[in-house]
Amino acid sequence: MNTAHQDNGNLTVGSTVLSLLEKMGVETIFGIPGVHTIEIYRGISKTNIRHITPRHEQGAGFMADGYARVRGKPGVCLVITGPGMTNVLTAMAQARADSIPMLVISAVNPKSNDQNELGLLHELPDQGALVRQVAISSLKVTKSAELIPALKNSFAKMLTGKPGPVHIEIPTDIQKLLSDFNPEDANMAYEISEDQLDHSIIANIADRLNEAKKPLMILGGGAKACNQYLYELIEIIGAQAITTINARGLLGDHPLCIPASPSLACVRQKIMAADVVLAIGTEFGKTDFDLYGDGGFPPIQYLIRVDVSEDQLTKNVKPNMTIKSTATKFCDQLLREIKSRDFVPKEIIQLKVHNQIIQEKCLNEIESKLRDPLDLILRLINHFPEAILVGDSTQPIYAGNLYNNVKKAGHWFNSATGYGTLGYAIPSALGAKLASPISPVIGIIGDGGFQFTSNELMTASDENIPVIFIVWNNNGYKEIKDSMKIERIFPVGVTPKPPNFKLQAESYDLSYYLVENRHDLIKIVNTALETEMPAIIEIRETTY
Amino acid sequence: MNMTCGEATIKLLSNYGVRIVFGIPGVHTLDMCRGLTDVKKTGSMRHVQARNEQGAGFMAEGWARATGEVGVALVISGPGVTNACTALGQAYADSLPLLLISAEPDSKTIGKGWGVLHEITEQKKVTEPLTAFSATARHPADIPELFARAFSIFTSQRPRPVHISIPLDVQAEVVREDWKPLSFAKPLRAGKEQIINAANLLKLSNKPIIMIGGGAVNAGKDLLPLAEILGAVVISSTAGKGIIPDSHPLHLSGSTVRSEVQGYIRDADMILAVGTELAETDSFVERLLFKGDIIRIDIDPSKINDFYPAKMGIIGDASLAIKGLVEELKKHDGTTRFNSACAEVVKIRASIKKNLTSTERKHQKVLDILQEHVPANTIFSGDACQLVYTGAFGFNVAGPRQWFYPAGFCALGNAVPNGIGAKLAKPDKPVVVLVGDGGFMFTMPEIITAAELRLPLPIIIWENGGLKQIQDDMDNSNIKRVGVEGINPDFETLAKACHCKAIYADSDKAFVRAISEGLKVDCPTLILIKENDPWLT
Repeated sequence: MNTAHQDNGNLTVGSTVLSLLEKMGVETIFGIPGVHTIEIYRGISKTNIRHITPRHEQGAGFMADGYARVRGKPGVCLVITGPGMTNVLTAMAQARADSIPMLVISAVNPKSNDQNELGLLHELPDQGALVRQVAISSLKVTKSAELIPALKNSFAKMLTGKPGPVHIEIPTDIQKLLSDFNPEDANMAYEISEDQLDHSIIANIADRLNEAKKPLMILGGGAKACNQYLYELIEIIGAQAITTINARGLLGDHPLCIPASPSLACVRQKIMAADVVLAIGTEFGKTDFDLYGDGGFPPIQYLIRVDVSEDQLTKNVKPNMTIKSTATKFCDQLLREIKSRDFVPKEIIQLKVHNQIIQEKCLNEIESKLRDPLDLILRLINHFPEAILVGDSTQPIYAGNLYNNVKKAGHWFNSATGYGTLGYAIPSALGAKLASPISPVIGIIGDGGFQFTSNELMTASDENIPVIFIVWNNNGYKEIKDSMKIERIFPVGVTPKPPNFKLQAESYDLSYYLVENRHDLIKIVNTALETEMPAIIEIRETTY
Repeated sequence: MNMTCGEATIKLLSNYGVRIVFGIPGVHTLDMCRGLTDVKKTGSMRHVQARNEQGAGFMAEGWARATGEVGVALVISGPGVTNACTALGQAYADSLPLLLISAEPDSKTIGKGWGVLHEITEQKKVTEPLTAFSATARHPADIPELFARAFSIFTSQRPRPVHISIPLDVQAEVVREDWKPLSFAKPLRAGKEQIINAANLLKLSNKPIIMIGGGAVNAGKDLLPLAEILGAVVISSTAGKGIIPDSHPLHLSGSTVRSEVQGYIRDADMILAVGTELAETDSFVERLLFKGDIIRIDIDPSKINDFYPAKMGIIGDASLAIKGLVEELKKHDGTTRFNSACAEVVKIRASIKKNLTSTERKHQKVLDILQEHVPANTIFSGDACQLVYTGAFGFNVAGPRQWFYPAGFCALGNAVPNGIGAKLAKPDKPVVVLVGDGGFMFTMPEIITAAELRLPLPIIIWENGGLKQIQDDMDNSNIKRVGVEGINPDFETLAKACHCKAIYADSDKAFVRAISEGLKVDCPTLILIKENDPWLT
């Protein structure tokens, strides 16, 4: 076979991958090396890329997800074919559901493109077909010349339009071929095309908003990039703004912001009463808008939807007007348009009062079993406004998704929305911390979810990533147990015995704290943050 | 009796003889969970709760490896399915019967991209490349039909995993009939004429060998007389270990990876390959060299001519075909070769022993102690780790289904949950897990499952500081080590945290004691062996 090492001046295709990625701005990759990827790893010593080794490829995927959400650029994973690929699928699916840019580079066996089953190591017939169900694109590099275009296409795909996970597979034999390019000379710039907005549509929207008596905005994850414009926009047009889970933290604690779920009755009333609703970057997904499956989302009088992706514009709720645009461009142009005319400023003091009432209503509406969990979230937010809160599918997060006033954009995200995975918070919080070392990062996870990925705590210890993990211990999958009770099913398989968290922390060389009751919470979190070591903080639901 | 479709599905499983399902319940499987708990309606079905659906899949895989019967995992849609995918991949590559039953969101939402909970583009397509088939039940009546198709694959073809998705609304529908299993197809019997022709070819051979793999797992008692009549050395793949006892004087067990054996294979003039892919993962060379002609017996027609075109292919059940060959060859006298073949085996075994590397010698030391101190019917659940690579040829098991190794897909972390599945399937047999420290961490949380179930389960952790095989590969390829030297937790404290025991084996004696205690106590015991400890050399 035509193989070469870098010491003779010639580079293999595999060994150039990381240099090319570095040129595209990649600083950190998450991966577990294997026989099938070592040719790619050969190139790492030529770069300044930091390599994080998780304990399972699912951990790699979730770390990349958390990293991308906080860093604002793609999270990158490097995995072997077969089990490495299937292990990372769940994380890719979560990233897809939440529109998070993630690049997964995998190996693939040389022959698998003809779908012969030869019993090769890690053989996975038609890997691409499987991955395409969770990735927005999956490309195979079949010769040296295809590598650079594949990387550029994948980055463009991830970062223009609706973001999501992309996959590139590089066969093991191609990895070992001599490259026909020098990575140092490669031009890795890629085009991002943006549609021009039709001015008459913007003018039309400005008219509508000007005439509206009760305009309202609904902000989804797609609005994250335009936060800078939103403050001015809501004040000028006099609109309150509802933030979905993935938008929570946009507008900080601006008094016009309603950081609450549109599944709550009081929020829905607000939506029903609005004469114009401007929705930016939201798919009106069920996990936000019909969490309880009651089908009670109200009719909207006049709905304007803005989304970067055409097929998102009409999903779930029928709009009266649609604009395909990035949130930033749309807000920028709308703001210019509004400022260029005599827009009648609305009286917003009254609205602010309303807003306080709404917040109280939300809190009152939240079911009693979620009150304590919500208390935990609100205390953390109020005392640690700089903290990034990374959540699992667990009751404090369900509560916080219904209402929380987190102060900063991107500081509240979790897996309870969309794909709804368990075990997300531990690795994702590690990714978040790596993306923003100066921010305190707090992972919040139940004892059931904890056991899905508790092995990644070893990564926290090994790489010394000082994240605080708050474990809400309610002895099992409480949410599912509750559902069984309601359905009159004798609870089965919902009380997995938890580990002894103190000893588990000790075995991983992590700090451990037990919060006896809610009044100790802040003191303990403070202590844990000061030690700058990863820590487990256990809270037992019954004593909180 | 009226039942929901979810309950009826559990009842049908029970009617097929399934006694345990492995899984994690969720809001999307409630109607099936209803069936798990109402014994009067649906029969007695045990639910074993894993810590991650990957563990549930691996446990079902362990059940299938131990019994040859279908292992069943029951999971939610979306993440439940993607978490279980790696286990499907293993079962696919190693031809194991595994049934994944999952929920799927409400029928009317499928493919719409509405952003419903656990939504995935198209769930059944994710598992299609990993299964014999993957199907969504659109109506309750689809379920008995899909089950019949699945079970006939499990029993009469090359076994492969199957995935059946049942949307929420279908699970909730009312079912009025009691679904019953349909009769299975019988295993395929090869034609008489082919058997005669094969027998004639074998008669002409001066130096035949028999290569066996997992497909021959039920053919042991027929293979033994065949080998003895022909005076043929039997060379098994890892999946073929124990089909005839590894210690049999004609058997070079699990040794296709050894060059000493590959040389012997090359020089044979006739190769009878039974139920084996002759795959790369058993030899770690791209192509084995064969001077002789190959006769292949396989239940899967696509395996007759792949890398190695066969002089003759026999499609059919291995056991039936071998039985036929024995009948035909009874009058043939190969016993003159028997003694010389045995002498060859002795010679090859000795040269393997002589050529062991220093690390392999350490493995061999541990394996020899195990050989002496565990009962002969012990099942070994092995992970992809160097101790297990050596054990493939360096350890003798007495029977089939006693040496698990993820030969094809070769994931890490299957050994502990495979062991749990095996122990539940065969409570009377001792089960010992062999795993590296890197692989152990992949599914570490599942030891709590074993503790919760009070399973005696010695888990031998070979500590060599991470992913040693890949370290070696990097070193050999002049690549600076990266990502392969992760530090380990304090395993003894971790064991305590997870309600398990731990023993650090720092001498022969300590190791022997650890095994004996590990087999007795009603919880897993982590037995820690450090590769650099002096007692191993």
